[in-house]
Amino acid sequence: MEKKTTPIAKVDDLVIHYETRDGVVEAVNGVSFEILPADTFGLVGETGAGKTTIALAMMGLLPYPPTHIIRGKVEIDGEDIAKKSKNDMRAIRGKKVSMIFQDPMTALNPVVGIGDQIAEVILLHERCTKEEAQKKALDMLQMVGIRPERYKDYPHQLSGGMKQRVVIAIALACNPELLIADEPTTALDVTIQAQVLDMIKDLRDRFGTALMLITHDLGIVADICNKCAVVYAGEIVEIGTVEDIFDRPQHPYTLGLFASIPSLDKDVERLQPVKGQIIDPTDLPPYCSFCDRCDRCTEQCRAADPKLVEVSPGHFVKCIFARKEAD
Amino acid sequence: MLRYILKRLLWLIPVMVGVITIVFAITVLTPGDPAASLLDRNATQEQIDEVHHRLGLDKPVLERWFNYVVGVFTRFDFGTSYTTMQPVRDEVLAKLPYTLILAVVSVSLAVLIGIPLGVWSALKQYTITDGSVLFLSVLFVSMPNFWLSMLLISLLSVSLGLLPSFFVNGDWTGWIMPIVVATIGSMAQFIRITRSSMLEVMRQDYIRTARAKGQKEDVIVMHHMMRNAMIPVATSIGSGLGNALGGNMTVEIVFSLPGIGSYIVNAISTRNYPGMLGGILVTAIMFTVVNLLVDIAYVIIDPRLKSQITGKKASKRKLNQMLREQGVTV
Repeated sequence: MEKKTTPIAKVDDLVIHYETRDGVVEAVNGVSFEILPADTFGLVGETGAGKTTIALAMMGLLPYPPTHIIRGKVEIDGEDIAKKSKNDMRAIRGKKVSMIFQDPMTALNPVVGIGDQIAEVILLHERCTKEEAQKKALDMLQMVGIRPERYKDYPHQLSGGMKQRVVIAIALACNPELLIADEPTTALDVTIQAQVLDMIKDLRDRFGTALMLITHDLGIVADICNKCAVVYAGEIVEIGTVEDIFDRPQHPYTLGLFASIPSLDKDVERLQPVKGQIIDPTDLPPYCSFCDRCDRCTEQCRAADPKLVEVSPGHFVKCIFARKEAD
Repeated sequence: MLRYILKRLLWLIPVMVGVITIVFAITVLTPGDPAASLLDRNATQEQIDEVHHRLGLDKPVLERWFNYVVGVFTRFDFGTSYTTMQPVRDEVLAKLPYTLILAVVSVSLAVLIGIPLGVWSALKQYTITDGSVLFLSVLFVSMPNFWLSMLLISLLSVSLGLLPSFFVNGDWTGWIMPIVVATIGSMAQFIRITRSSMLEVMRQDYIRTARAKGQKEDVIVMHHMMRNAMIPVATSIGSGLGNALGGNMTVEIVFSLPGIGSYIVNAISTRNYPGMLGGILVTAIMFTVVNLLVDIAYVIIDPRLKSQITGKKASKRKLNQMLREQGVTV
């Protein structure tokens, strides 16, 4: 096991609800995890599982209203962010924790030059003059592989992949301790996905930044993460090291996700999807929320909501069928 | 850019010819005779013919149209007023300052009050502030100018005797009520457009990006939201100014402000065709120029439009430069 250090980010029993016209959306229901300085933590789940909500909560960027943090807390560097003032939070965002958003097409301000958008975050967090910030922004541009003469270009003059590079440059400009990447490659072309991912990996290693990667692509998780959590209906159903999850998965949902991945060496007619639809988050049952889609579901599953069970050190599964690993 | 402006100004020529043609067609198609309004009812046919001859109305329409167009473009001659026998150009130019002052002052005031109110209202969406600003703007938008003018006159002039009910040269207090009335209508328009445009921009991802940088909320509003939200507002300011330059007729008439609006209305009622034509032409020119200014403002606000205006030549230059950098000879 790696040596214990204080976590950069700790999410503790977080419960978040949205109030909508159709009722209360229970987006996040008691999620806990922590990210250590050397971690690359993958958060995997279907669309609507609550992954982005968790990330926004960690940034203190949940839109309020309609979001309400019902219970639990987020700690950054050991301090509860709910107790921070607005100014203190601004000092954390972009400096200690920064975020790459899903859609690079809309994440940049269309009327501000890309270089100045990078310089903006530097100017906010570092004691420097405008010229120094612009110079550093120029360096960041080159670091993400964009030629310096494009400093004055506007977002519409860039391709999708280049825009995402700019977003990454903004996120890394102040050398954050934790980088949250919310599906950084989903909106991109497959060939560009690999480039962007390699770049994130490379920069993570160079800056020594902890990374939280939100994705629904298990391949990406296997590629760059050391820990990961599988999220279903706002709950972590399985969490552990990448080896735990990929080599010894136990939760039926995790197993279902693996079964739905196409394999190179097997020739199958149809892929095996996880059957059914993701459960309606305005109407969660008091028992295991995966019941309706689970092949192994029994009477006992519908009796009570299972707890996370530690099946081996650091590997937790939220299922009544979870068994201690033999070794 | 300069090429673009010149090109747009050249468009003034077909616009003016078009306006002249339409107004000529209207004068031909509408019943009534200018001579009848110049002479008394018992005038003999000879007298009428004599007036027709003097005004040039005995010539065929096409010839009159052609002469007028040539006069406008070669001598800047807008014809001679039937009623005063003075050059229309001089008369219109004498009226122009009143309309200009009324339009520019009222639209500026409307912008200065309306945009901040719209922004404020959007930032406080769903609160009482937002509701009351929205209520007032709907109220003002739906209130016709002439009615508001009469309400103000009956309150401020008749009941309280504070302000004069009509404009007299040399007395600046006569400006107050016309400006207030003209301001309120366009201000309400700006509030509504600014508010809805801000609400649209506030939800954009790049605002979240700015927050994720740790940017201060007031900088986000001023720098990130406003610049994007101003694009549709610029259109509205342009059309507001255009309307004010040509169309504050009701205000000008109610307060007897001697501007172009009331000049055109007078010309119509006395069948003073050249006066009417001259007034409308000047209005059309101003409208075109204001629209050009709005389009230039767009380019300053929104870089995405720049390439459209700087045109093909510039992009070709850029391409050549890029190719040279790559070592390709062109």
